[in-house]
Amino acid sequence: MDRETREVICILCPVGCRITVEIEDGEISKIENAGCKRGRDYAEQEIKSPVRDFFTTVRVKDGKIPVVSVRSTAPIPKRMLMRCASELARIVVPAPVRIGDVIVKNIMNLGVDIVATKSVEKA
Amino acid sequence: MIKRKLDIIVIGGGAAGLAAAIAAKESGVNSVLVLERNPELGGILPQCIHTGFGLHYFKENLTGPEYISRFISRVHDLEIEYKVETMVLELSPRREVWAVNQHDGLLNLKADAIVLAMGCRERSRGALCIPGTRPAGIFTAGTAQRLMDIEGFLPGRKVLILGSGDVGLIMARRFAMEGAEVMGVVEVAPYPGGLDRNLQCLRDFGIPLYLRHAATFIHGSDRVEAVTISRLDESGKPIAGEEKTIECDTLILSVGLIPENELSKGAGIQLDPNTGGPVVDENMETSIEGVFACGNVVHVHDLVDHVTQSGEVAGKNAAKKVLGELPPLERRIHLRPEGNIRYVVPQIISGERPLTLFSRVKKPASNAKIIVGEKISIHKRIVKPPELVTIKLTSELLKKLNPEKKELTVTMEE
Repeated sequence: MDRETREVICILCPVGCRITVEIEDGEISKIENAGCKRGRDYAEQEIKSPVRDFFTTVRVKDGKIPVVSVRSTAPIPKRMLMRCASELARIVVPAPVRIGDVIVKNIMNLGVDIVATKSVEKA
Repeated sequence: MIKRKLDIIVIGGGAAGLAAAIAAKESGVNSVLVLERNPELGGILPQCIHTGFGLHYFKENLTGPEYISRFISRVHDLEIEYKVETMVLELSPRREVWAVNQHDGLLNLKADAIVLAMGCRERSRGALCIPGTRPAGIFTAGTAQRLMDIEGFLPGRKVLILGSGDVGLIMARRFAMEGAEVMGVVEVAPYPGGLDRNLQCLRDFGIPLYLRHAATFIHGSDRVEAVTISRLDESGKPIAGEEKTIECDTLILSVGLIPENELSKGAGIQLDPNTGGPVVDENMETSIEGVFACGNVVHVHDLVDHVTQSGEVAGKNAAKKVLGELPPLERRIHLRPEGNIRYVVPQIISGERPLTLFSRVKKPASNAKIIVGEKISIHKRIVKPPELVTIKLTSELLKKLNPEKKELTVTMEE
């Protein structure tokens, strides 16, 4: 049998529980040291399919500043972070950019959009 | 030279200053002027492109630029006057402000109330006295963040980060996401300096955290080539033979923030040695009548939401002052931090109105009791130095205070 113990630091509140999760043959067999139910659920998600907020910058052509900050409209799978970052590294958007503008629709087919988080005027 | 008289001048157009200006204007004050040194409003937030802002204030998870844009829009809607690229040179105890910019030249301004919202600055290499050469490639975390997220440069490809405060942890992730190799984060304390949730920044990218380590030598002639770090003993001294030299081209410093109070000192405002900021009462008024202070200039916050709230308190009360609606405090009770309590803000309360005190501890503790005076005891499950401790003094609790006391200690029992 394949057995593994992993530690998840809960980020839901300032207590920051160090939750231990035991995994047997790829299945969660035990979750310990979670201070609350939400923490337990968080640890479970962290093991099964962790997601992260995604944010980076995208190059702007003829803008007052050369990059615009962007984010995903919802968290994306953790394993896709770098792939989305590389995808966005290839993009250049023309100024002006307005806060909330969609920069990439449905990025990597994840069902989330990449939107601008600030406005950049034309230079 | 331009001479003007205003109702309120706000020095600093970041989160605190904008909240103060908005609150003042909404309270019915006519002329409010915000003076900002940077080319744009917003302070540090336009470069904090990560999420986690506004969870308390807006109950939404926003990025820094999104958070501050809501306040900038409000400034425009309320037609609040502001001047960017304007440097305040001096503040006098009579609420006179000397400032300069390219457009107006020298400005001599006077106001019935001043709000100090200058924020804080980063501690730099000079303050740490790290031995070694003086090559290029050493940046404070905030400078690196500005270079990456506003100016569009990657300041290094092989990066070591000194200091595990929030900015350091966030920049570790940011560098990793941009494809740089992050060699590690070095922290002198035996525990991380930032919020727990930000440790995820390191775990997600497999970045090592060297606790109880210090940078003891910087190598390189033109550019940083390596940094030697040493393990520290219990007393914080490097242990001989426990060094490790890490190859890198960039060293990022995230080693603490200091409230920016040159102007306050010049005006003779009383500062609190524990916070590095002005002593304020529960109205956020400083030792000089009509001069208020808010945000990171008072003490370094960890959440912008609290900065905004303190700006609102300062702005509202500055407006009341101008309108003649701010009576002096009935009583002035000085709060004195003791034991594990490093500081308490505000430092002066009346004991008449419910309020929230902000405090920072020296060491982590669990199941602790915060004791205010003799009779008020507030339970805290866990306290840590990176996280502000809020102490809610309700009307119920305030009834327990001895009205004769001029000074109360704030301490902790474990």
